[in-house]
Amino acid sequence: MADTNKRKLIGTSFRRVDAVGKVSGRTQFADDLSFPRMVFMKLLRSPLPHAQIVSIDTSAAERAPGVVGVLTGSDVPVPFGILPVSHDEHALCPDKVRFVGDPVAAVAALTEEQAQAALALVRVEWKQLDTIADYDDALDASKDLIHTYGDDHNFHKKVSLRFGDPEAGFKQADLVLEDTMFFDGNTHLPLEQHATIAVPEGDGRVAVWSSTQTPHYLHKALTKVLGLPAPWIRVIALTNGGGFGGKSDPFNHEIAAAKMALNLGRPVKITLTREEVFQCHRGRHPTLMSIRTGFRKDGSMTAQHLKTLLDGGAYGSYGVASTYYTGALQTVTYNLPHYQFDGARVWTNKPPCGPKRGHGTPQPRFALEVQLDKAAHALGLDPAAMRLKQLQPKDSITANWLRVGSMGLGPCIEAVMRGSKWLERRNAMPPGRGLGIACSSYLSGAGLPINWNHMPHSGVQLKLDRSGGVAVFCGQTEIGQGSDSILAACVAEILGISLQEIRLCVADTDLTPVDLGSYSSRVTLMMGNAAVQAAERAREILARAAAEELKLPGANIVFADGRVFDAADPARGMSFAAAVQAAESRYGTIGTTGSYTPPRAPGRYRGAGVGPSPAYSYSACIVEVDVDPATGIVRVPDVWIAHDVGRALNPTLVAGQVEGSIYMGIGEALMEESAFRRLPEKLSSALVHKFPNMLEYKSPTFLDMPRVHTSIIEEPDANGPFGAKEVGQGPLLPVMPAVSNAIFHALGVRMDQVPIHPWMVFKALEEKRRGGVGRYGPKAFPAVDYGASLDVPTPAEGGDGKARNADDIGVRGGTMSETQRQSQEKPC
Amino acid sequence: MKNFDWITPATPEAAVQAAAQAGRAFLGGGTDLLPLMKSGLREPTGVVQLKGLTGMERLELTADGITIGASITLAALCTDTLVQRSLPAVFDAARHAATPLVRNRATVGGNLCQRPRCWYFRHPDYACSKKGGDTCYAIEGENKFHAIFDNTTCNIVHPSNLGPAFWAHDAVVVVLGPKGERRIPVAEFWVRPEEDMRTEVALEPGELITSVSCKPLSGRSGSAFEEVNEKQSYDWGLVACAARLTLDGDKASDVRIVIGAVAPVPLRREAAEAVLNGKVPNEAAAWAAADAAIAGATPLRDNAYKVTMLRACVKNAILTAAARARKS
Ligand SMILES: Cc1cc2nc3c(=O)[nH]c(=O)nc-3n(C[C@H](O)[C@H](O)[C@H](O)COP(=O)(O)OP(=O)(O)OC[C@H]3O[C@@H](n4cnc5c(N)ncnc54)[C@H](O)[C@@H]3O)c2cc1C
Ligand code: SF4
Repeated sequence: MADTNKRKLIGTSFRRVDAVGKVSGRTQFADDLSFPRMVFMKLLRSPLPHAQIVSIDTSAAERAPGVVGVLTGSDVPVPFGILPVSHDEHALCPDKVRFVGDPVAAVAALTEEQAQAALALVRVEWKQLDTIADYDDALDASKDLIHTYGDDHNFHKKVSLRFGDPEAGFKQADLVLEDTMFFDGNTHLPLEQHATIAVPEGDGRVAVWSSTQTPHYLHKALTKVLGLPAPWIRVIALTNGGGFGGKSDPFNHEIAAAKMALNLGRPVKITLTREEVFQCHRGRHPTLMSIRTGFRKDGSMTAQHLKTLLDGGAYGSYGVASTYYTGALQTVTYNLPHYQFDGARVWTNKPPCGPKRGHGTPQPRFALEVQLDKAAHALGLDPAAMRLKQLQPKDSITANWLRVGSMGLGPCIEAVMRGSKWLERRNAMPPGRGLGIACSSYLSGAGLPINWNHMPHSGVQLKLDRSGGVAVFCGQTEIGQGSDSILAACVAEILGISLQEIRLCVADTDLTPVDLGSYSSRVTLMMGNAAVQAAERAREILARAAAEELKLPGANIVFADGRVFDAADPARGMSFAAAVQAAESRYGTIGTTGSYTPPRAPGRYRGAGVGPSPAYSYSACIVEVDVDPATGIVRVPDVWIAHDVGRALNPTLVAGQVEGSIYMGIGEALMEESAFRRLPEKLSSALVHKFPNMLEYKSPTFLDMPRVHTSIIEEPDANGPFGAKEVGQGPLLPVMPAVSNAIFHALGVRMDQVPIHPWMVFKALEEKRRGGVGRYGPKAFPAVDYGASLDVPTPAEGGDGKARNADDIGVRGGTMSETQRQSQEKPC
Repeated sequence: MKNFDWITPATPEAAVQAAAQAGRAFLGGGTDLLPLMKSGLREPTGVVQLKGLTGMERLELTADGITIGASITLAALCTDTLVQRSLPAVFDAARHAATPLVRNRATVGGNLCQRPRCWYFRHPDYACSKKGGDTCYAIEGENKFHAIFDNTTCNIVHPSNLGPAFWAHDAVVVVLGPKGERRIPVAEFWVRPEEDMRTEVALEPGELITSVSCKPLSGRSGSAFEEVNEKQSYDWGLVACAARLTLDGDKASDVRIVIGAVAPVPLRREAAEAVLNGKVPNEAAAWAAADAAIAGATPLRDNAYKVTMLRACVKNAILTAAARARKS
């Protein structure tokens, strides 16, 4: 690998390759596309939260002006879903709807208005079922089932894992804190609404252009539902106008559009309305948590027992993974010797929850970091110093068998303490002002693929042209995070050429090697490694040819500034194009590939697949709040954040991700919530989204945005390209607990729940005035039978990564594939 | 949205004539009318554009006080030095409203006539009482942002910032209709749900607001408009208050306290004014007046917080107005 000092692009704030297109409006998003003879599709969505479809009559709609095609559930009967263990969705519901917004029919017409008007003519006869609105309903065994698979009743998934001996740990503690906390659901709010255009290609093939973060998985879902050979289906992901996890599932509208296009032989377009985007959702799981932690006098943790209860909404989505993620990353920041995690996800009749930025980890992180603050207060310790003293060491394995590589949380904490003048200012704040700290960590890509296999997670292919241009092919998807720029820069850096010489071809399942998608903060690390490998292979070929051409066998050939030359005598060399020509003359057309597969993780227990990553990023955040006790309004003037990104491949892009995370974090801390309510009885008692529009769903604006003081910390990780780790999600996580901790510092009241609204501040203040503890948060955690725990000895106990009692416990009702496997194993 | 005719009259009289045909609506900046049309709540057959009509874009000191043409934009109001000096509450109210983008389009006439933000009202699927149905869904439903006063029939809060500010400056709304001109004191401009469920303002069909005249500050006086927002932009206030007072020595006189965003129409709080009249408008007096202003509130299930918030908001408005009076 080239020496750091000589790098031209990597480590600099080079201009994004898509900057000019974006700024000048030339970038094409899915909704910008238009094809000859294109028709428009609209979906009829259920007005009821939970009902059987008794009958559906589309004859009037079929005769309506402009209508060219109508589909119902029987046209697309094959179920699909993102996880193989929960293929529980349909492009159009065949027999039952599970939330207000579940689609039951699709109408295509010459104009969007005609399609919309025809929807009103579809007649559906419903038989209403019990609405499962919340935890109470879901835990009520007398209520109707939303799905017939899952663990038991309306529990989708239950998990119970014990690492080490938590009870022994609690006995060693000087202080045991037990808290119940709640993290409300919220949504991604990408500016771009989802859009899809399916274009039939004449010979039974179909191309689907879509705003998706995961073209590879959409391809798989389309293949399954349409029943076509996979090579007949081509998925092209366009640059997403923001994703944040909201476009990582294959969606019903994408599949319905493809089916409609094949039926009609004409291009079919659908662009969701904002209301429909709220219905697609896949946002943050509302999560109720019970957290019990033992602390020694010096603040170090002896044990933790965390219980989570996720409100999953109507479908599986990523939910099984989300459930595990509410426990998995509690161990990677601070040393936690004994740990029990019980997690469960229930179905409710609401839009499905899924992976929003941070996927399952912000909720337990909130609980942990707020509780640490409480412990520091109870023990009379400085919350920052207390954290610094118990960091998980680098190159270590955690109690739950995650391998930590580089670990820069210490320098992160020190940086934000310095920046905010923590030690000087904390004890001298004016009334209503407070400083709070919290930290976090996140994956740089999930260690396992969604569909279990041994193939690479990312592939990059290069085609070197004799003109000196390099075409780079990769399945990765640009969702605004800058992955196109990182891909181009990794290749350009190694080959010593400029970004202008790179031509990208990305996110096209026909033309590009698979990259699993833009989720789990995996792209820079995985695609970056694949790109570096492909470029290094090309460099090797060119270097050999150039050395021969220069008659310098064995010379140290360097690639820089568009030239290929002898390190010892830079004047002896040739242009990059000449080197390609020299190579092409000798070996024929020049192309190389690179690929990346994450290292195997040490955990061997059931569930060990969620949490491992090639590298973990770290963040520390200090938030200053200004709270007016008379109005309850919380303002955030300043945020100091330090993020260990391993190596900043482009510092401006890194800072952009950090600032975007702060923005989103402030929203989750203070205003954003996916709120639902039941309509009055005379209006069907349906459970509807309170605010399915951008005006009423409150998210911050420029004026609410604090000054952000970002420090980039670089603790290079051997697994990352040039040492890089993730930055897309991690910096979001500490914001919410830091806000809560800062409010405590300002007013002495505890906010055990987010978002924190003014009326919650009032309630807590009032309670405090009346002599109470001064807290706003959930009162109790319901009794949930998580079942017997898998008992996994920790590395410190000499474990081998396996559970002791795996055979005794077996599988409960189980996820879809488990249920199927069981029924195959035990035919009844 | 359905197709509609686009009518561009040159004078207020021509506009009134054009609007006399049933199904037509006046169009100011369109920032409220268009969203209503998009969600199918209004389906006018024609819109009568009010831009550039003679006299409707003036902003000047007249014998009537300060006359503000109904087509003046909120952006123009909150950058005008005459308004800042003589009608500070109006200046603040315009500046706090909406977003820069919306203020560039939104007009004074449209701001007074904008429809409520009640979620049920705005959603095409709910035929609530205000839309001719027989139920107010907000009574049992989502009422976090609804009224804390006069909230038995329909619980909307009037969303206009200018409403309370104009009232604090004893405004008169000048209206032109098929039958000629009317001058409506702002106190009589609002219509409560009990009087007429279908509207919030006392305009006859086809009547056009041409201007609003406000009483400017004189002597040692000051005014202010304060609101409390969860979000600092793109949002309506949770509670609002406009206050005006004159200093007689160091005592307050001729006090006006008008609260907004807390009742179906702006409310003048005469009891609070009485508490402050004749007192030094210091912090203690401001709190006392604020206590009088919130007296009689009847919060719903989810909005008791607004009472506490309103109290602070009234106090702040009084103190800002008093500080300005002292400086004048
Ligand atoms: C995001 C957002 C935030 C907002 N926040 C606030 C806020 O905080 N405070 C606030 O006060 N407002 C707020 N608003 C509302 C905004 O101020 C109003 O939409 C605007 O003032 C309406 O003015 P307009 O000229 O665009 O009215 P239009 O949309 O053109 O008209 C509104 C109504 O008034 C009628 N009309 C217009 N002019 C006249 C006239 N001269 N005579 C008779 N009838 C007339 C129209 O027929 C229509 O019925 C906000 C709006 C948005 C979109
Ligand atoms: S408050 Fe008024 S507008 Fe809202 S639901 Fe009730 S009647 Fe309708």
